[in-house]
Amino acid sequence: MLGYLLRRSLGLLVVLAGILLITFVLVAAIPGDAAIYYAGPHATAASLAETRHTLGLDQPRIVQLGHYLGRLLQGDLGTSSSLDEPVRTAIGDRLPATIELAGAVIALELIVALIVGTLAASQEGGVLDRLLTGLSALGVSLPGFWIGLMLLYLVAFRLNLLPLGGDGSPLPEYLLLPAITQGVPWGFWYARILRATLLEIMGQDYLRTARSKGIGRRGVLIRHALPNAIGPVLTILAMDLGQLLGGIVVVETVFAWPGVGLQAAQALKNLDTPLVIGTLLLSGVAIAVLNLLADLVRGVLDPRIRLT
Amino acid sequence: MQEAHRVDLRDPAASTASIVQSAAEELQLLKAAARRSTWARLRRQPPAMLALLVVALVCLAALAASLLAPHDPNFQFDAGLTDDGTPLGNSGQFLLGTDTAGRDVLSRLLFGARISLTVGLLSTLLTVLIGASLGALAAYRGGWTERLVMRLVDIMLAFPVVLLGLAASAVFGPSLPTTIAVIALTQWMYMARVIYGMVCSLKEWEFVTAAQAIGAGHLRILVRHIAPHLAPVAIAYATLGVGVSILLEATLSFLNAGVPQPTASWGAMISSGVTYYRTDPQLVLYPGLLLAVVVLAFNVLGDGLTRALAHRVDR
Repeated sequence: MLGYLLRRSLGLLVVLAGILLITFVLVAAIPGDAAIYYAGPHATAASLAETRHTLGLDQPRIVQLGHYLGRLLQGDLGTSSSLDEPVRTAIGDRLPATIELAGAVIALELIVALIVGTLAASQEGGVLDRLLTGLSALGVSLPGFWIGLMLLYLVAFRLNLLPLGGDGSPLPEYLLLPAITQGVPWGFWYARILRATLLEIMGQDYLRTARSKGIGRRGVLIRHALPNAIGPVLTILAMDLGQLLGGIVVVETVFAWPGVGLQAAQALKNLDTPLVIGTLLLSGVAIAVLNLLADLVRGVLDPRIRLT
Repeated sequence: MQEAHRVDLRDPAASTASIVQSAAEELQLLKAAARRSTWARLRRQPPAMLALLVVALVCLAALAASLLAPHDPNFQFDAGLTDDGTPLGNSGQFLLGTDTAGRDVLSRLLFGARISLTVGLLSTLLTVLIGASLGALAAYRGGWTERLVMRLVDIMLAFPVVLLGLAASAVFGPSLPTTIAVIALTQWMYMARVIYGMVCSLKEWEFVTAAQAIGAGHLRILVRHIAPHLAPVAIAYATLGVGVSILLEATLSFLNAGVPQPTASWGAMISSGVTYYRTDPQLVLYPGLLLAVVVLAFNVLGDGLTRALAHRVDR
């Protein structure tokens, strides 16, 4: 276990280094003078020259990379040109809203996956089962922003049931549509994965034993197969974190949800490159770390997985 | 004709050249048969055939966009807006109405198909080239090549595509090539993994050992002997990839990080229609429906191909 942890942490370091390198390449590729980028929009000629000196822009690229890493290690992600504050502060302020939304989306995905996936597996080949195959294909084919806009139009505008975006009180009313937009289609997708896993497990010996003891198919499915089928679904969920975050950027933009993603999309419009790259960097790091955590948690929850 | 110089492969008296030649012919026949049966299997799946029809129609529409479109997609008609400056509904002149700038929606939808398919096909082609060659190389060479490539896969998997697209567009400016590059650079890992797995098992086969034994170079073995076995799976995955790429292009364009205005792209059309979605929902509805139909068609076709080819893949 300790050896595994050590090796995975080492792997994580390599991944993190790769992420840093790619963002450094992006920063270095910004056309024009990087000193302007770091000194902020209100820099004078004198402060520009000073920034250029402190950044060591006359140094070779490899030295610059060292400086870049040094600043990152001190938590310095640069200055947002449109908000006129450190990128770190800007992202930190918006992070709670994004975590709220992501939490709601994942919760909804799991609820849909558990209910629909179990029902479909319990009547394999039935109407619901075939419906699920269609819905899961449709769910990942429909653009998320389009689903969101259609829900906004029908539910919020036409039927006037829910607010037209933004956030406010009571929170669930504002959170519901954004969460549905992303959580339900992807929920169907995970339901299909859960169904396949369940059916595979149902063919195994220990379940035949349980059936032969007189437990009904549904009872076996829920009490014996389901606990073992959730693990693989959670693993895929963790691997999809990057896509989840991408979807959240879109949903936040559609519903004006004041999270990190909406901020990054607006930063692009305002030509605020430091804020966009800072968001990319932090989310890449977060995803890499969360993936490792998910693996560890899975190993602890499922005694059959031996982390060696 | 072919029967004439066919020899028994087990005949010890047969010359090496004749054995090689008849083995090659045998392979050709097998290939043709496999191709026929793949097509037959695909034809037995009504959803896949419907999807193929949709894909063919969209390709035709995109190719013939300049013939089919009633107007210039970028021309802003003076008569294309109401007196209040809002978009027009359906009419004889503008079959599907006009957009927020007084441009013909139908023409923009047709030309948008071009952008979607261009991005979808080109980025998928790049994805296959990068993914298949890196995946095959990693599996075939092993050692540090394998570690390097698979670590690169891990790194790229940690990047949220949409945010990388935003960053690339912020740094390099939004453009068609940037969009294609971003999609290819964030999608090749999936192809690389599949190919990696296949080559790992393929390279243990006797025909590879045999090729090595007669002195074939590594490149020759990879290209001439291993690649043909990968093609069917690569094609099926690539078909699915086209759908994913089209969806990504639309998403990036929706966020103003994809194909820049005024080029007609379905995602950008939805983006510019957002302000009017309450009064003119059709501006969002039409491009979105088209996107959904096209992406679904590529996905269903890809699934159908995977199923039709399944019998050829020995895993």
